[in-house]
Amino acid sequence: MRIAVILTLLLGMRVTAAPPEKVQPEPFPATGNHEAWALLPRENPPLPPWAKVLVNPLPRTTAKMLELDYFHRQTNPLGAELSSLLRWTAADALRSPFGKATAEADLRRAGVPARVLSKLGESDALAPEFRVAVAFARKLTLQGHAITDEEFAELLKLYGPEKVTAIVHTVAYANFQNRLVLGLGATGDSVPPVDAKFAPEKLAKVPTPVRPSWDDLKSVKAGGLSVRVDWGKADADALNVSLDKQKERKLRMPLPSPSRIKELPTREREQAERVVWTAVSSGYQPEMPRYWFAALYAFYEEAKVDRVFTNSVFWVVTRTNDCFY
Amino acid sequence: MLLAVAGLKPDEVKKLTAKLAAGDWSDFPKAQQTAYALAYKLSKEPAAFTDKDRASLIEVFGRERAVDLIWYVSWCNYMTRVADAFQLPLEKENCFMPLPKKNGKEK
Repeated sequence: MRIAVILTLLLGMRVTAAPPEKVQPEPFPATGNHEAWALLPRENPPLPPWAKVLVNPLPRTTAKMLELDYFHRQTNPLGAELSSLLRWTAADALRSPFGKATAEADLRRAGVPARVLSKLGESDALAPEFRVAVAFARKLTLQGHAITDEEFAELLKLYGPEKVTAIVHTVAYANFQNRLVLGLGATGDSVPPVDAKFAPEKLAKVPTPVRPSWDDLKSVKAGGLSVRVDWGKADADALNVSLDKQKERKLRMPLPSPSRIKELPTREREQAERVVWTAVSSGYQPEMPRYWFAALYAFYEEAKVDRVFTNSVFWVVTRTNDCFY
Repeated sequence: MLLAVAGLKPDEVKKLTAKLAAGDWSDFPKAQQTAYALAYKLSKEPAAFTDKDRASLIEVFGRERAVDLIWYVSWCNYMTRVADAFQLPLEKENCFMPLPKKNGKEK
């Protein structure tokens, strides 16, 4: 009896239900993003020689360095001409053919005429407003410790603290990159800036090759490099005295206003509040140290350095450069 | 300063820097001697760094660690240029590392 009632109800529903609407196909169907790109063959832009060497041992660092390099070459707040000129000067001082070729290509793209390009090393051939900055770039590269307060004040007067901060970081970047290229022995032609952004969640999954532990390395007996050190006569005690003096040193760079620091993202603001280096750099040019530290943090994650070992290496660099740090 | 930040006590820093400042690193293990020589060469005259130097570096550290050290020494030369230019007073903190963890979360 109950079954008969249910059947009757179902049959009734079948009779009374409206017919299903016929689904019309989309007239112009869209495909998924991934599938769409798969149908659009494209060329990968050429990578600079240093990236091709670094990408195996330090893939995530390489990605961040490509973003850093693009920033310096394409969106540098000094403009293409001055920033390229500074990079060229540092590369020339360090005798880096790749650095010079890259800067020259960037100058050419910025519309600098060939007659100027052929005389880049001649101060008189430069526009007057560039001469002081270029002289500063060369001295910072070769004898940074010897830059006087007067020379710095002249630069500051001409450019103001925002641009001076950009000049310093641009020259510092060229010192980093040219040493990296020369150290790796990376050879090849310069290429246009690579406009690539890397999704952090995908980048985080890229594996870094396993390295030997630092403790294992300390027991290696074979081979090795040796040098004859040619430092001044200052011994460790004399160096400690100059370090103490540096703690008392007066600023030659004005600090940015607190309102600038307040505008920074939380992590940068907290660092700027406790570290003068970051206050000046992030306060005047937030993007420059941001790209720089992104590359550095990627390096730390991948290389997992032994801090005592590497900081003693840092000590040797500061001593070699006669830098107080 | 960075050696202190890395965890060495003041007397350890003093001892280590005195040995480093002497410029004779023969008492150090081979890896440290090589890393210091790399730091010196790449800072002083990077264009004079040769294929033979690279091979010697790899012999001690292997390919990946050799690249790590070249990257690190180049990085040091960025930082010293900024320090020399601004001549900022020294702090006691390491501004080159992420902020310490707070409540188990990295800031």
